[in-house]
Amino acid sequence: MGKLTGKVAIVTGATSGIGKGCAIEMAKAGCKVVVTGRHEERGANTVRLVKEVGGDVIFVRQDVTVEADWVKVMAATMAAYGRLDCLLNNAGEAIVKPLEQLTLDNLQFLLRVDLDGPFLGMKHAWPHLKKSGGGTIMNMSSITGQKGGAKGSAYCAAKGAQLALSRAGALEGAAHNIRVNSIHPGLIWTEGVPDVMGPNPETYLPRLKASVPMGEVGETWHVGTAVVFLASDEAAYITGAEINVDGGKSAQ
Amino acid sequence: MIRLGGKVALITGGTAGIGRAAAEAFVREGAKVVITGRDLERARNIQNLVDGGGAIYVRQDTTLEAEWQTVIDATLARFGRIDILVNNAGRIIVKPLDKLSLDDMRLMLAANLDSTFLGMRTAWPHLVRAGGGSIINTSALMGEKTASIGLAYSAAKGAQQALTKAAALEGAAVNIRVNSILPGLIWSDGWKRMAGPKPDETKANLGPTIPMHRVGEPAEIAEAMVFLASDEARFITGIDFAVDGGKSAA
Repeated sequence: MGKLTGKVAIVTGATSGIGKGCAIEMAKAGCKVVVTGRHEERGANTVRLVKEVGGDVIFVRQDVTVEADWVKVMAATMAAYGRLDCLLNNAGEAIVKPLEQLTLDNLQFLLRVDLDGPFLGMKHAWPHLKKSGGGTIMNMSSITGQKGGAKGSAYCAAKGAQLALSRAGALEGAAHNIRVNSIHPGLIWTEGVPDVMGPNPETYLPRLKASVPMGEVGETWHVGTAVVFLASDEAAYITGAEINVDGGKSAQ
Repeated sequence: MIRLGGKVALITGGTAGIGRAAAEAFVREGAKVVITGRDLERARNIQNLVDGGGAIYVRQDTTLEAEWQTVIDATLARFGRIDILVNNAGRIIVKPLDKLSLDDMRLMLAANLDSTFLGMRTAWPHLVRAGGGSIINTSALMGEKTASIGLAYSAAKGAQQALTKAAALEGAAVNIRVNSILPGLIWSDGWKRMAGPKPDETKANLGPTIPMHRVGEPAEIAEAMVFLASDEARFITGIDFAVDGGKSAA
């Protein structure tokens, strides 16, 4: 009997990185998982990994910024599992550029993915969570949503806005037993890190590690276990909280 | 699945309320637990855990350095190691500023800050020897957001949170994680005592002041403590973990 046995979750952006890690941890805890993302092939990979740990899982192709895709995801979830208990708004994008080089398009793109996406997810999940007698929503923010970061003005703004959305959602959800929490990962090792930092990790990994008080870059399961706890009934009194999973970075 | 198997935990203020709930949850998860408290009478509350073989009780005033050494010695003598320290003991004074004495302020700092400092300082070398560990300090929502007549308490809890973060940064190099838990309004024994002649009514009346429309239970804090103490929180240190039914988001 897992902590999430009997529950059904949607995890967006689960085709790679933190989302993939969270989907695997949730499945290990007994949760049925609907994984979504834009890439079919990577989605199939996550499905395979979730099945390897004994999980019950489907993939639905989705762009979180498109409202019609949310309708499709909810319909697929109901068709497959008949209920919804948990939504993990994990899909997100980052742009790291000096302010002078950031365009308005850059900002609006990040707001679409990091704010519109979670907003639409909450909106479309809401009636289904109410029907389940309550549920949990977790929005994947970032430590940069709480503190600033150089060359991150657009990203910080989008993630900060998302944090405010989570808090407001928590207050509104309280009446329906829907808990809404914000998760703030620090430096976590994902496929996306080489995309930003370059293909030779050995050249920059020591510097990255040294920037984290715990002296290491986090693993996706470190976030996944926090997600499992927050999604479980053990966290029944936790809503509107900000959970940092950052090896001590934000305490600095 | 046992989440704290093989670990030894020390919980201060563990004979009642949140501390007792934590002791029960830690024993359930397979930890050996040393429970401390000032009041021998209240130690009866945890007799079931002691009888079960998973816990011992040691009388302690957490503000006294000498007693910390006694507690650590007793822990090592009985269980041989220490992996988890829960600095849960604390006290509260609620009074308007013009009625607060300097003694009140000193008491708040002694009971909420000195005690946490002494606990961390005394346990530290033993946590290092165990290869690392987890320290959980029970702060309060009032360490962040205050109430109008909670000045001394808020100041002490705010200081305790800063202490916790500094210790997290220092502990990171030796694999000691240090976090604060910020309970909101929890139906602890302290609240029950303050609740007047009709505690159930008081509890029901307090509910609507909280977004989730209910007062929390000590067990709900205890579960967050188990999480932070376990390897599930492997990359979590230096955080303020609010367990408050949405109070801090409002």
